[in-house]
Amino acid sequence: MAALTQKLVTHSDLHADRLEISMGPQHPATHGVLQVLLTLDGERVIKAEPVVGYLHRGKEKHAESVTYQQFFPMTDRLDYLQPLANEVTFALAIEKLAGIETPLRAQAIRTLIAEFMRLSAHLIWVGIGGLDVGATSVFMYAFREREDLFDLLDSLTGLRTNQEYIRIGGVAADLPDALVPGLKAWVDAFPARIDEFEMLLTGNRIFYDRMKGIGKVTPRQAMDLGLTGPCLRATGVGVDLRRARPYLLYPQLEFDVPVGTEGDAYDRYLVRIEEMRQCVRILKQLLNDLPAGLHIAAELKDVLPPKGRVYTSMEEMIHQFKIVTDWHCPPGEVYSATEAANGELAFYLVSRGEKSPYRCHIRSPSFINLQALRPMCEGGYFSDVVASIASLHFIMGETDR
Amino acid sequence: MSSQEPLPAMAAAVPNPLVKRRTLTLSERWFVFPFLRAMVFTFTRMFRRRATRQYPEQRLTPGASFHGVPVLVAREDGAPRCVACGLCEFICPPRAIDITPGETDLSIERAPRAFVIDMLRCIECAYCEEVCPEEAIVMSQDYEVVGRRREDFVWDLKKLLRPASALVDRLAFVRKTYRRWDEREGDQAPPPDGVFRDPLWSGREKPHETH
Repeated sequence: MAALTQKLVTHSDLHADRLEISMGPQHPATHGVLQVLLTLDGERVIKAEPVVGYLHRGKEKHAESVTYQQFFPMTDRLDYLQPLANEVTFALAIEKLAGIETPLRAQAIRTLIAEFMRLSAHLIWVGIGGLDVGATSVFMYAFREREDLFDLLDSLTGLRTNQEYIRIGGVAADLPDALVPGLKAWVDAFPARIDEFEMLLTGNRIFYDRMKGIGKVTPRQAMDLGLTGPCLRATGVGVDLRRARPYLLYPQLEFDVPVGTEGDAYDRYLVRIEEMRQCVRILKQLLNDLPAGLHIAAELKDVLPPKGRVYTSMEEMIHQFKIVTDWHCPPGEVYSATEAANGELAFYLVSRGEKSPYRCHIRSPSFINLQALRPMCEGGYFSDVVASIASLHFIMGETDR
Repeated sequence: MSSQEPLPAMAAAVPNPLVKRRTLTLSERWFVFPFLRAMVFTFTRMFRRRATRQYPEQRLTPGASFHGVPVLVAREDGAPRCVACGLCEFICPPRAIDITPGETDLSIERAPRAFVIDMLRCIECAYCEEVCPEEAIVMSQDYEVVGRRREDFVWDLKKLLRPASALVDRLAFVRKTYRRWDEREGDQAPPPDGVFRDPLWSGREKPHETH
């Protein structure tokens, strides 16, 4: 790849008139507001320079001026395809720092929704990724499934997207027993939907030809670039934080970590499809054996007291005010990572024992995976840039933060 | 797991399965049969359940868990239940709520002189509802907030105040959801017959026990 680039930029080539193109920030295939400055030699891409920052909202700085609980809605808007997975990660970081024990049921509900969020993000990937390389109909089918899932999550959390559902110490509301059959039915029906996506894409010659061999990354290169998630696993490196650093209920669950062989766009697609099947496996185990108990910590030190007591007892009333306005995190530093749909999502929190974090760094997988765009595109054809972008699947809300 | 602890061995106990990567068959290379199969698939979908809703002819009827716009609950005498404690104003992540506290001759002693929610800012997270110690602010089931000017979205007391009878479902849901494990007096949900007989609020002059 490098040799080809060097050959192309030699001045002895009379046809080396280079064309500079600005792709984005308003381009349908850039998944938000990404600008890619492309230098082309005919159809060949000599240089691809991603420009980020168009969606920068200063979230890390914002965290320093709000309380911990108030920052949860902001984490929703990082990777907006899997809002609750971001909330779970942030909650785990705070709980690790403050040493809060969450009950088993809360952990099970969190695992459950984290897997639903992975499915929802991968569904978007199948839809938009297919759309980017020309498969229009699969986009509609993927979105239909996602809408059905959102209807179920709506009855759990009250909102379809950007659900503010996770609290420090647990979740906001218990998973109603009446909802479990609906979730089970959706999960049971889902493998047939994956088969439909595969029928439309895997053996589709247009899709296959456009994805095969595009944006190849070697395992060595992938680790050097810091790739995580499906993009790393597609190169054959089977690192999944759910296995490598287990959190929540993952140690007790049976699932496989699928890996690819060649590390091209087609492998990234196959890995994501297989991950969806593994998600279904995890969800079935969880839904069949949902532990009973409380959905939020019983110890009232860090959580709001039950409403009934707030109405009738002065002590709980004062406690309610104290928790809302004056909950302090003990001083310390913590780095807590989870395996989000795109890779290792982590929060690095520094607390000085105040109401808000002294520093909150978000290790967003999209931002770091985006580095791979350059080696993927350079030396390839211009039309394959879109396939590379689609297969990387970065979310600009998370990239720019 | 502390950050000093080394990363567990990458070699997983269970071997990672390779994804099935195959080359296209002759029929797939030839393109016609997969194409026809996909066409048949798409055509059969025309006779399946319709996935979309024909809004605005078909409207969504949200359940009790739905977060619509936040509204204020009125007492039986029509005044707001709100005692202007300012908890919702404090917790509101987008800072959409603005309360001007004042005094009242009612037994609750404090009441908002002005209570303004900027619906352009509101993200309907229901944090206000969760922290409210008086069940005075709850999420309604209204999801259509329209207006011609920015001022139309800044709702004042007059626009926000709803009788408790109009919010029976949500109030019952709030009771049930935030009750958690406590089954003491005052924690029961109101009867589902639509008549709002709240042990805390009806027939009692002073809602809270005196300490």
